Amino acid sequence: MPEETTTQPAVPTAETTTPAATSEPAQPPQEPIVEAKKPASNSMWLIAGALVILVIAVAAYAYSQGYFSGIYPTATSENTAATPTVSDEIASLQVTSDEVNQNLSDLNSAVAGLDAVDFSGDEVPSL
Amino acid sequence: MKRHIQTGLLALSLVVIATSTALAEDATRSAATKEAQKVIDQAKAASRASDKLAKFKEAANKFIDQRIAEINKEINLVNSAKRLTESDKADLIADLNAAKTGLTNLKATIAARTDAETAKLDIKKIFEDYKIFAVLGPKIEGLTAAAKMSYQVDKLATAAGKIRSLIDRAKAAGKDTTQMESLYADYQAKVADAKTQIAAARSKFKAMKVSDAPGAKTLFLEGKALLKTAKADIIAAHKDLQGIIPLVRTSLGIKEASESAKPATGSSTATASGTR
Repeated sequence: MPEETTTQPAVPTAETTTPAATSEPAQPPQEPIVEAKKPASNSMWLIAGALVILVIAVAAYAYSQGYFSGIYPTATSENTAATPTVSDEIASLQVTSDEVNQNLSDLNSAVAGLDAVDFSGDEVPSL
Repeated sequence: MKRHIQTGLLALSLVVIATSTALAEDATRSAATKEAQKVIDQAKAASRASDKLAKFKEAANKFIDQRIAEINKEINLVNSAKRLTESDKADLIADLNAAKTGLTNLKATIAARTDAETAKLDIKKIFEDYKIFAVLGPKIEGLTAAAKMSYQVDKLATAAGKIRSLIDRAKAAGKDTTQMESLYADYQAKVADAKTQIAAARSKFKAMKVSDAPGAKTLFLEGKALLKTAKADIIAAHKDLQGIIPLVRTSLGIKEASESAKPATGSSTATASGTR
């Protein structure tokens, strides 16, 4: 009968796996293997770019809606209106003068109405 | 010059229209009163008691209808008045509606009367208790006139700041402003006095009470005199303004704008229409 040739798989023994248990000098612990940094993938760059564009878009929208007006005063009709010139002021006075002049007739008719009031309408008739 | 003539003619025509309208209203009212008086005379002459009562009722209806028509007209005028304050409008409309309700109730009361003597007493109430023509109408007329004047004075008062500023500029430019200052001082005084007169007139008109017709007439006449003074003040202030403008223009070296280049006067056309 031929001798059985199957071999049992080697089972690690305490002697081989525990250096402390051997008589040999202690080996320094192996350095953990660190994988070399890979360059960022293209998809990461795309995501970052999209985020930047999104932030810019949100900021632009907020600015257009005036959310930053309290921080950076924007130009308004109030602070950009031109100071009236002397010529404008005189023209404005002339307008007032013309209006009052035209409405003097209204005052005349008002006074004429007062003069025309007749109080006799409520005198008790002879009963 | 042509513009002044046109304005003068417009003013004159408005006064004529206002006066003739008032006279026409008085004539209509007088005709209605005469007609009602004629019915009363018929009632007095009637021999039968039932005829007498019927005639008194007929006369009462005429007097009341005439007053309710006047009240409705006044309500429309007050509501469409541009210059009256909302508060004054509300007070006047309340007075008019109260009178309308009272007269409507009185009409029903008279219609239910069965004897002429009681109907006669009710007819007296139409004249004594409501005073549509002697108190309410004049009160509205007075307050409306005061509001119109107040509107003009406010315009002039607003212009005072601009005048002051322009005179100051002329002074800063080394110009002689003596005449401008004098006109401006008078302008300010006239505007201030006009305001005082109008306020006093308003108080007089507002104090007019139906329950005291003689007192109301006195108040009305006093208020009218005050408004006439205010009108004179407004005219004087306007004249001062007309004097100041060319002086300021000359001293500051500004040429007069041509007629076409002058800004439009805007609401002036609308306000010159003689509306209340």
